[in-house]
Order: sequence, then structure tokens, then C-alpha cells
Amino acid sequence: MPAAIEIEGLTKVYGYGVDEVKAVDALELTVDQGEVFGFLGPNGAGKTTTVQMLMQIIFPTEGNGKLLGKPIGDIMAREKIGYLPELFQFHEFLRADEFLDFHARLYGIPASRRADRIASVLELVGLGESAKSKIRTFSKGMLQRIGIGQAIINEPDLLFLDEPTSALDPMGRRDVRDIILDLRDAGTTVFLNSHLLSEVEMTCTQIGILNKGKLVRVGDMESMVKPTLVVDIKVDGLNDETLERIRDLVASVEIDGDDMKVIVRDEDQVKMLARMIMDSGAEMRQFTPRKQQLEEVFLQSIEESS
Amino acid sequence: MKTWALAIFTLKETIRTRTMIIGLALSFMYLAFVPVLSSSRSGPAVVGDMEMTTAAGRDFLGFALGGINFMGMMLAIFTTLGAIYTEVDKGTILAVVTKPVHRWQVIFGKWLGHALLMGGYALIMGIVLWAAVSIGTGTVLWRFLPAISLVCLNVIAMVSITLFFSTFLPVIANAIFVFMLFIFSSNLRIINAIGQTSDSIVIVTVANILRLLLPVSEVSDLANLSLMGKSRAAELAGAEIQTFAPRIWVFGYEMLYIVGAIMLSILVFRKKDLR
Repeated sequence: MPAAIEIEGLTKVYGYGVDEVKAVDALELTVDQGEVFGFLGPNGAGKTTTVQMLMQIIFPTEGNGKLLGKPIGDIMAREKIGYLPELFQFHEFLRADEFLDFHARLYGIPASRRADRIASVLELVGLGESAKSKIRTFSKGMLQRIGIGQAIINEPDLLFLDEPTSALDPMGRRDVRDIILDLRDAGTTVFLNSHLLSEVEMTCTQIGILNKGKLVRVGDMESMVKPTLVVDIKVDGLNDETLERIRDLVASVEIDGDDMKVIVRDEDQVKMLARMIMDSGAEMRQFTPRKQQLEEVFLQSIEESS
Repeated sequence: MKTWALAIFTLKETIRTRTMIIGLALSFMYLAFVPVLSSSRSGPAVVGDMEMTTAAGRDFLGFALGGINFMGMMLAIFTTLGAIYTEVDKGTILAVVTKPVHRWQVIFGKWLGHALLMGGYALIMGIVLWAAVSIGTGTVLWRFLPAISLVCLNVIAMVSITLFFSTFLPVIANAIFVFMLFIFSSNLRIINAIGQTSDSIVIVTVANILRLLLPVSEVSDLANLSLMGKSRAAELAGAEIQTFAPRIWVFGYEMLYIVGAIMLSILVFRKKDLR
């Protein structure tokens, strides 16, 4: 089975001479089928540019790639690819069912299957009762849902979602998240372009972090986030000798006044850390172990690459 | 099927625009007033052995044809000005070009939608007037059919050239460009007249070559000539029609012109970054 996404040296340069800007710089990436890939990065990192190159909205300056084993832009491959652009703009004069019918026709879905497929997609995105409503009357949440509807009308094997929850309230975000999880369960590969880390953390199986057009980190969510434990400590009177022993034991120590943030390698180290501080005679006012959040991984990756 | 879906979608979208609604309202007003407006022209209408009523009907249709031609071309320009550029600017095109359709299908579907709408508009307006005149005079003026076909061709040519400019020019710039081209090509007879009076073959030749930049004026003259006949057309247009007569092959050239405009639109759009 070919990878869902294979990118080799993808580069996009805007401007010329002194105005030249590399929006995406020699990007190499492979995403296997069935993964939900979270593509993270600060604003202007090149996330949307990358997706737009993969969807051939814009053309790469250099490099190439494959989607579902076919070169970027292959029409046959696109029949199994869905795409929701960032801040999706609609032809608002249409009704919800007319809108999906138009997109189903563009996917070449035969007339015999269209009506059933439109009805089931409207149900899936929670708009079954709004099928005959004009899109211009929809709320932001409903617009985003009908936008996802057009992207999955073809039952895609690969789905690109560019900031699908950025304009939504918490309820809308939860709805979109549920749709992504349903698609993941159905085996669809999802490429989720987002800067909402909590969304990515809850839905993705793999993540890649992009900064200034370069991929600075990529891997499984499990290996990148979950095994890492952070301990937030507030302590008075910790001597230098104990501090050195702690540094030798754990992965990293950050000190800010009385506050310490310690990253440990496993749960045993948490116990050893507590014992060391207690044995040193220091006064411990707080000792809070927690799992490292994606946000910390993200910020660390961005800082290191900057 | 995909191209057809794009064409029908474009047609439905355009017919709902304010420009189209205003255009249709003006067209109905024109249909209502055209008998009054054309009455000043139907005085010395008897040519040869043609009956008075038939000649008046022909003159009436000739006047109406000019109106349909002008309104059709104006509507074609105004409804097509932002056909591609505005869609790219608003981002509505993103969900279309990322579907399994070729870029040429997007352009051709858009063109087909606009061409069907505007060509259909000119054809229906013409046929309604033709039927009314045929019933009113009791004579069927068959010469109107090739004339209205040429008007439809003209309207489609305006759609094509405006669509081409909309692949790279914003709405205002497109409007300025297309209208400058239209006004320039409509007034080449002035340059020709200067050439005639100064006996300059060079100026006359240049005027005739420049007519090919936008052949709609020449095709309009050809439509009028086809309906009215040479002598009546000359009578109405004066000496001009003799010295700057439409070339019979120009309708074929206009067809090629349309094909060329579509091909150029596809060429520009094919590798264009849509951001």
C-alpha cells in the first residue's frame, strides 16, 4: 500500500532578489495511510502553502510529491481526496443539498448514487434538517460543517483540513472533532492543518511541526508527547549539591526563582526526585507531576529551530 | 459531465446577480419602447418592390437588432468582468479547482455558462421581436435569422474576451481594458474616413487591420447588412458603409477569435497560483 502523502524537497519561493521569501523550504515528509496527521506551526510557518501545493492551488518552485501513490495533481487520485480550505468561501445562493450536489457532480459521482450520498453526508455533519435551507442563512458552525460535507462527499481516502475549527465556538469544535474521529475510525487518512494544539492532541496519531518553512520535528504523538512527564515544583532552601544530583538524574531542569520545572524520563524518576528533595532538608511547597502537553513540545521545537 | 455541471452552475449563479437582473429589466423596458423609438426611422422605408408594411417591419427589426446587440454586449461585459479574478480573490474557486477537474474544464465550464446565458439572452430577445413583427406584418423576414445569429456570435465574443482578461485582471482594470478596446474598435471608421479623405492607403489599411483586434463592430455591420440589404444599409449609414464595408469572412474570423480567447484563458489559468 503506497503512503498517503510523500513529499520530496517541496519548496515555494515568493518574490525575487532581495524580496525573495522561502515560504516552504525543501520539505520532506511521508504520511502513511490511516494516520491522522497534525501539521503544526506558528502563523506564517508555511502550513497552508504546503497544503495548497499538494492540492495544486499553487505550484511548487522546486520538488514534488505523491498523494495516494500518484503525482500531485493527478485527476484520478483526486477522486479519492477531499479538501476543506481555510476560511472556506461559499457560493451562498445555493441550498445545502444543491451545494453538495454540485460538488458531487465535480467528483463525478453518478446520478444514481448522488441523492443517497448527499443525504447521508448531511446527516453525518449534522445538517440533515437544513438540507433545503439556503447557505447564506447558516451560522459559522453550520458553514464549517457543510464545508466538511463537500470535502467528504466522495468518501475520500485522504482528507486535507486546513484550520477546520479556527472560526468555531467550543460546541462547533467538538462537532468537527467528532467528525474527524469518525473518519479516523473509518480508516481515512486525515491531514489536519492547525494551530489549535488541543485539537491536534485529541485527534491526531502523528504530528509534524513546521517553522519558517522547515519541518523541525515529526513523529508519532505517542512518542513525542505522552511518555514525557513534567514535574512542577516549588521549593525553599534547596542546596547546590542536591540540585546537581537532580540535574544528573532527570532529562532537564528549568529554574525560575523558587519555581522548578523538571522533565523526567519515567514515573520511577518522579519518586526518586521527591525523595532527593525531602532528604536534602529543603521545604517543598508544591510537587505536581503531569504529562507534558503538546504545547510544550511545540514551543520547545519552535524555540530550538529559531 | 463535470464541464457541464460547471457551466450550469455558472449560469445559475450569473442569472441571480444584480447586474443581470437590472440588465433584464432594462431589456424588457427596451422591448416595450422599441416600437416608439424606431418610428422615426421607418419613414422612407419602401425599397424596390418591397411592401410598405414589410419594409417598416424590417426597419423596426434593424433598429431592435442594434439595441439587442448593444445591450447583449454590455451585459456580457458586466456579467463576465469578475468571472475568474473575483472567484480567485474571494476564494470560492478553491473548492472547485481542487476537485478532480482539469483547469481547462474550469475555464471552459465558466465560458460555456456565460456564453449560453448571454447567447440565449440575445437569441430569445431577437426571436420574440421577430415573431411579433412577423405576426404584425403578416410576412416572415427570414433575413433576420442570420442577422440575430451574428449578434449572438458578437455577444459570445464579448464574453470570451472579457473572460480572458478576467484570468489576470481585477474587475475595474478589466472593465477599463475591455471598454477601451470596444470604443476603439467601434470608432475605427473615423480613422478610415481620415484615410479616405487624405487618400492615404496606409491609414485605410491600418484601420482595416485594427478592426481585427475586436471584430464585434464589423460583425454588427455585417448583421445589419444581412438584414437590411446593401442599398437600404447604405441609405441608413450614408457613404461610410461603402468605404468601410464589413468583410464577409469576418464572422468566421470572429469564431476563431472566440476559440483563441478561450485557449489564451486556459493558457494563463493553467499554471496560475490561485492565492
